[in-house]
Amino acid sequence: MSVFDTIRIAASGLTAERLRMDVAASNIANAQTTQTQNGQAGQPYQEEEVVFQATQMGPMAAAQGVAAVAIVKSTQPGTRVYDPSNPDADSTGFVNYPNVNVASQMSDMMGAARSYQVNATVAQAAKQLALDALDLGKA
Amino acid sequence: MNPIGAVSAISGISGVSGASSITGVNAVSGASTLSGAGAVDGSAASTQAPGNSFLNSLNDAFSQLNNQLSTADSSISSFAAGGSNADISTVMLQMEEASLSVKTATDVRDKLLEAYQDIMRTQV
Repeated sequence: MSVFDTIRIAASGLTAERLRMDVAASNIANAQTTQTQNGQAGQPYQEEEVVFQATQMGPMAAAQGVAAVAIVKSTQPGTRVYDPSNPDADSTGFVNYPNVNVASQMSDMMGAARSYQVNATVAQAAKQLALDALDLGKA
Repeated sequence: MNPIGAVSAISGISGVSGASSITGVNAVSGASTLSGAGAVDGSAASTQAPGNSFLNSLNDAFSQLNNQLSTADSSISSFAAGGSNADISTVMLQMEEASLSVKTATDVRDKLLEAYQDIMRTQV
């Protein structure tokens, strides 16, 4: 198991956490979005969540990195607000808003940021190990 | 920007193959630190007939180093060009990997030259 495997595992963690951050940003940005990407009224944005999976990255089965395998949409019902003047209101005057929970998205974002820092620290430590090993050769 | 240009000058070290027939070159087993690059089999250098095998594995190590450098190079340029799949963490870590490999290669070269010079300084 080379030191590069450690760095690559940490890199996979960095990439995965950045994707989680992207998804949290998308959820927060679309917390009030009442139309889908195709412009269909009455079909609000649905909260998205990343699914991570462990993947073997080096010659050893124990050394596993992480990969994002899917982004699933939450099926939780959204909130319905009575606002007949809204252009996206349905026939009864209710507007369907997304099922995004901004508070939980904020905590998810903080978790992603912390995990990113941890992975960066692992990469830094692995690099330092390699440099220390190289110093052994110095006179 | 091709730091490998400096490194490929090391391939001139194959001119040292005359010295590699001397078992004293086994003192270069410090080269097995290159196994970090996953290419040099230090034991092969010491158990097989000294000569080609060590230089072959050294060549392999350098070609792997070259691969790493070109990977880093291409990901830097795709990141600079705003490539959508370019991740700054991936780019930085690939650069770090390449820089570690270059450091290892220069250390191995230093060791080799040191051994060569030790032999050349032998009193006749």
